[in-house]
Amino acid sequence: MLIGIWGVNAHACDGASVFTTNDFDLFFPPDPDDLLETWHACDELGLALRVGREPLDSPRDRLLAQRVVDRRALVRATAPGGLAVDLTLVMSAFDFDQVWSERRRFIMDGVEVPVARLSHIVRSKTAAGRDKDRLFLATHADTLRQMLRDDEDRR
Amino acid sequence: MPDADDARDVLDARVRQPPERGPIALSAQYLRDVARVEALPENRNGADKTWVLRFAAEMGRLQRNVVRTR
Repeated sequence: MLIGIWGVNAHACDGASVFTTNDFDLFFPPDPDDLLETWHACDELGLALRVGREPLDSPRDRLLAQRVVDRRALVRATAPGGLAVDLTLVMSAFDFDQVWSERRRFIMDGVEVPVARLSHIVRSKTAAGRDKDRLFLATHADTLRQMLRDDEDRR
Repeated sequence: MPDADDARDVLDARVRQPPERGPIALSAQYLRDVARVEALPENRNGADKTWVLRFAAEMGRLQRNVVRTR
């Protein structure tokens, strides 16, 4: 499920409300089989998998996936062009089922993409409380106001 | 360029302030705006958001090609 800035972008209504970043955050349930399948998909796409600065261990089997789940470790998939996808098992202030049950389903390139609700993403950033979250939320407040003004003008 | 100087002054002052700590409080207005944006027809389930991917990719390409001219 898409969360983070790209989850916010998925709720954009025009280009002015899109935040440009190559970093995608995907929120996964604490399920080793699900994670393992994702790692294999990343391998097939040629994405490199890392935990921190180190490559993800091999063999990439269910035992390793279970360890990653137990530690709620973040695995990052990267491509040479700069694409980075964080495969996270943690979303501040929420558990997976809570966010999944209220997800939105948007279409991107013909694929149905589950996306966390905008209100969940915003509340998660509030809970994380990092400087970058503070900066984002301030910018986003302006973006939302503009989006709503534009919407009123269109109607 | 007075506008640019003013902007730099604001940023410099902001950098000198100690970083804010503690929980982030969201205004009631902001939360209402979030709810309104979620409810827009463009954000119904099944909405095609392919344009967002295309737009961001194009913006990224433009940013990578920006060069300073002076």
